Amino acid sequence: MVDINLLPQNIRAAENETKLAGYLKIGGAVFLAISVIFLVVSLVIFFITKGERIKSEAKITSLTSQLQAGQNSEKSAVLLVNKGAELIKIMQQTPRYSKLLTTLSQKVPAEVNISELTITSPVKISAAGDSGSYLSLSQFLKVITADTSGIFGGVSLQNVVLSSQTGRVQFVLDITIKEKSLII
Amino acid sequence: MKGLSKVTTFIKPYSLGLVLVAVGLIILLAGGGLLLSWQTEQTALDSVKAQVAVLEEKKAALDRLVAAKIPLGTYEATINGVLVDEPSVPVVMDQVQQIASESNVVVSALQFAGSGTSGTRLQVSVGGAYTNVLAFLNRLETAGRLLTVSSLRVSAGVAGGSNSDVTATLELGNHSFSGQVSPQVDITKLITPEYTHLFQVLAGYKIYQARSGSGVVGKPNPFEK
Repeated sequence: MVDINLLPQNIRAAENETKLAGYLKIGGAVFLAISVIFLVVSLVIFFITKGERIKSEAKITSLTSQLQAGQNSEKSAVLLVNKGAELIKIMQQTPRYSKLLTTLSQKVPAEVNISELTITSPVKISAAGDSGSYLSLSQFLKVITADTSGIFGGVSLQNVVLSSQTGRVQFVLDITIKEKSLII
Repeated sequence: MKGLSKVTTFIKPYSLGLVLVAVGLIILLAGGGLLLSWQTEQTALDSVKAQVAVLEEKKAALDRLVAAKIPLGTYEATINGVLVDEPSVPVVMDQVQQIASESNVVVSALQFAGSGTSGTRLQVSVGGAYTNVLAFLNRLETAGRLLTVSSLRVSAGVAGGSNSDVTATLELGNHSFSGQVSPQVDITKLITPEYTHLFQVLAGYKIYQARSGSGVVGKPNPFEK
């Protein structure tokens, strides 16, 4: 079959062209609309973010000026926290021996004399002395053992000798100090 | 010219559609550029927000201190007097002498015993009535320029003293601030019970000021008595 009529072919081509142009127009319009929406959304997001940034920057300026007014207080507070931390650490490791001596002197019976007291470690003291009798020495031991001050943990007698020259009972004993009991 | 006319004739039916697409593309590109700028803006905003958060935290901490009415100036003077920045053996010697005089005890020996973790160490021997020695010990423990007693020996009797006198030999640590002031600390710690207790204890401390010598300094023969 050979088509010899050129006119209808031209018309058909023109119709196709018109159709294609129509599709292109609609497609272009849709594309344009999407682009516009995209632009508008981008613009809105951009300006919201920018506005927020401007607000935040203004807040920084305001806070900075407020903090500058309290700069000296802050400096003092920082120093206090730093030095305080070190002091707390030192104080938690340092026993108050005056507290120990004060408490111990309240426990010694009248007949007992301590001639030497040595603090060998924060948890142990060694005491040497003499007593008028075994009874007063045992009273001393009992008082230390039944201590309610929370300082003395126990007592161990190291040596007891009755002096033939003085007639007094000479003793050496170790007293255990409860851990952290001398910390203020 | 003939070629151009051919192209124009070919494009003419599609021109409106093409224009729409071209305008759409331009707008799309503009939107893309704006989106990129927004990303930069967002990063900047995040960083600014982080700064605001830090500043707000600092401000809130300061406000809490102000509300708690912490006397920062008084506390600072006390803590600087208790924990000095630089240790000074001469000042400590003077301080020990002042405390001994106040307590009515006699310092019979005072010697440098080295330096260690507890700062400069001194060995001190004092003699006097037991209650005075006890007072001396108590004053040392509550004195500025933090003096801590690390060992103690108390024995009955003092050469030339009465029978009731005692001699105490003790080792003192003279502490100074060993650390660096770190600004990255939580200042609201000052209102915690731990710090409140510390400042209550320190309020009872006595800060001894170093006395200045009033004698004439300088002599032609330093060996001359």
